[in-house]
Amino acid sequence: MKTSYLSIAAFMLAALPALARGPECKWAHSWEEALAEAKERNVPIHATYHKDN
Amino acid sequence: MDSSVYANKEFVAASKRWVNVYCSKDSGHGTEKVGDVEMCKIHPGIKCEEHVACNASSSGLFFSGTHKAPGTVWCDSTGKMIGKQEGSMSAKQVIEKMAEAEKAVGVGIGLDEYEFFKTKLAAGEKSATDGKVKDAFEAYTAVVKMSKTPGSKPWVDKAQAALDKIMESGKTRLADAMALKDAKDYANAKAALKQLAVDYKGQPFAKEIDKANAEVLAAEKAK
Repeated sequence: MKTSYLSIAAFMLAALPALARGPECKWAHSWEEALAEAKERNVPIHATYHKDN
Repeated sequence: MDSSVYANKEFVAASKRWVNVYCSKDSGHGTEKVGDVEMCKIHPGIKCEEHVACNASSSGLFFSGTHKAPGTVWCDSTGKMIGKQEGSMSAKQVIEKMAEAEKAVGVGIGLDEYEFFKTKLAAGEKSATDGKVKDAFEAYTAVVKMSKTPGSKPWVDKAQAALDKIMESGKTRLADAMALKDAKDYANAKAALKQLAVDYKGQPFAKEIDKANAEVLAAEKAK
């Protein structure tokens, strides 16, 4: 019994980051794809540049 | 910005009016499995190699040398920069800057509508290729019905052109069936019209098919 409670707790802890994150905006898979889609949809491009830490 | 902006509800809703590109040369943050695929741990919608490649392809277009991170760039639909900011921004600030970009670009189509049109046009094309005329009609008609959606004209025109092509094909098939009748090949004429009636069921063209069928039956009876 104790083992199954521990398993559930471990699963919930592992799932926490995904649950906390919520849905995000959709990201293009490449710069070229972004250009093609923006042209096809006639919409602007939002590009964001990041570094770890 | 990773957690405060890109998962912000208002930002997510507004972002459907643009194309979003996440660029980072770093991949030390690791991955997480989504299904069977290793995706970026920070943004599981993309792979780390994708944000690394996006960074390599585009950062040099907007920044020279080192720049403050995060950096945000807003561009027109051709990728030409309208403005940029180095340093953090709030969701509200990004939305405001993107609204400026939208104004410069003009009327475009939202992500949900874009995906709907793409899916329906692809389904219509596949059904038409597979000879499933009724399904093709339904898929293309779903797009044409969206004609009031701002920015939808190119998609609606494509769907309408496909519908016109299906109608042309129907008329050719009807003429072929009537040629069979004229050649007194009533069995094949009736079979061709039967299939036409199935394919164009519910369309105004179905009345012409019914009329042609009546003509074939009358001709067969009078032989």
